[in-house]
Amino acid sequence: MVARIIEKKMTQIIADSGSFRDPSGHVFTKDGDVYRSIFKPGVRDFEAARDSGVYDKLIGRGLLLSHQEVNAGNFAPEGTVYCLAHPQLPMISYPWEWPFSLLKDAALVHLDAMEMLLPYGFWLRDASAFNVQYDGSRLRLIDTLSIGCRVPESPWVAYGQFCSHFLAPLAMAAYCDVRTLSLWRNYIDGYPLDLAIKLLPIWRFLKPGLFMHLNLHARIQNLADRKEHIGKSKLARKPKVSERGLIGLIRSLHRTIEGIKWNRFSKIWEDYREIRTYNTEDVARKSEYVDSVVQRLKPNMVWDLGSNTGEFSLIAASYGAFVVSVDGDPACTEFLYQKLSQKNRIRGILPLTMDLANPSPSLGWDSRERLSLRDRGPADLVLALALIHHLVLSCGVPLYQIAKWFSNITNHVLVEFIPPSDPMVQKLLRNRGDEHLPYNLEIFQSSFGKVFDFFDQKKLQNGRILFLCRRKKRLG
Amino acid sequence: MKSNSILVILLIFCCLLISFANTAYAYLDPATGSMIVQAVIAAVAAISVSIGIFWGRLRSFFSRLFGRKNNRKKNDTNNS
Repeated sequence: MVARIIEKKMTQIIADSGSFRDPSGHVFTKDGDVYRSIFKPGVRDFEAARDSGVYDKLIGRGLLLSHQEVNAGNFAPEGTVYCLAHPQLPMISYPWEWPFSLLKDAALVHLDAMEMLLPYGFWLRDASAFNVQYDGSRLRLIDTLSIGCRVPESPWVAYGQFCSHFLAPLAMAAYCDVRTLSLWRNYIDGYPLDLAIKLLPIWRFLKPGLFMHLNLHARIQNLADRKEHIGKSKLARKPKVSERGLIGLIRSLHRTIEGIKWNRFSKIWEDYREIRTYNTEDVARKSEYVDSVVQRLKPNMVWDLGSNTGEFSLIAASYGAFVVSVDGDPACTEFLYQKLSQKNRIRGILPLTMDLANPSPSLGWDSRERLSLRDRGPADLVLALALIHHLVLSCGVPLYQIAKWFSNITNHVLVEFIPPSDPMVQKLLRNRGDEHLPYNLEIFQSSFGKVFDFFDQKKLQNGRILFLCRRKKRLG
Repeated sequence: MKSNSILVILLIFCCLLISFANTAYAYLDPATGSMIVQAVIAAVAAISVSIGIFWGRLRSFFSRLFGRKNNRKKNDTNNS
């Protein structure tokens, strides 16, 4: 989580491991508070944007994370000219974890900001998906220094980045397969456009926006690979683009992004309540128990692992906790995200797609630029409801490993044990015979008992038991 | 989508022009490729934005013109 630690006058200053590429400024934390240093190369753009009022306009419209200029004092890194204090984000998330519509909304945040900035003579210097984060109420740009003075008559420098960070992944997710969003883990600087045009069905390029911004774009980019041309002649002069041209380009991108729709996600989740194998009384008891646990522990951060459609996430969020709802099924997280988007009053829930048997690893430069799920913890409470039987029986993870993992990511866990006789467990075991890991209540209790203290439990009529556990000690 | 379609038709025409002048665009790094393609798209898009602005002005001119007439009529009827 930490790139380097500099200690000055007893305060702990930690440089953000994901903020080092831009020479204009870096992010660091001091005793948990978030600051941004602005160095000499970023001063001109910062002063111009501040004095023209575009920061205030963007912040006012909810497009940019707020900041406050503070005295850099003696804690900011060497070379700091200005220092900004930012509100802390509850949870950093990455595009390989995002539901389809969250990535789409992140693209639209960029385009809305661009359209607002252009008339004032500014633009976004980059269009990275990592620059957008959910702050508990909405998606916002978090990189204040990505706003820069527009170079007159210059093409948008971040156009290529926008297409590979948003357009290509969205088009592939909608028209090839939504699971291609996990390619982000490999292409963290954006999808190669030539890959996108190879994988997309050819008739999709009948859509004018995709034809222009992906197909044509990739083909012209590919001219670079024609080695026979190397050294012959270079582009004589930089192409010029007028302000109207840029506005037209942004609007065209807006129409194209708006037009990409993923409509194929399973409708099964809408009827999930009806297909559940246990009765409504047990569902009500389970919900009541989750409710009482959240009231009792008053957690700030809850991770609902295996959240399904987020039924229990909503309970936790109703008490003011920030909830990260993780599920392996992109249809589930998309369903939850759309539900939350429609009901604007529900805030503080971030749905993320992740295979919990293969949670997000650390990625990027030195494998520290983007944090693993574990590095972003610990949570105050993990909800693991109807989860562990999947991890044991479908993914082959022994119970003691699951207990150890939980002890690394949370202080408390509410875990549901589903007995081997349960129809859902029997379904998983149907074709397995005896070739599965040991799974019973005794092994569960001994495995979890090593690292957790059980301090409350609730048995449901169907034989399922909810255990509330507090971490005993942390294993390495 | 309509304006995107017009953009594409004009773009195909521009691409044909580019394809005849490929020596000028030899050895390009991908960023240059992005700049060229957006310069072409933006040039065409600028026309549609200008048409949009012109159309907006035209509409507001006529609506003001007729609005005034209507207001005058209303005023006349009120006065009478």
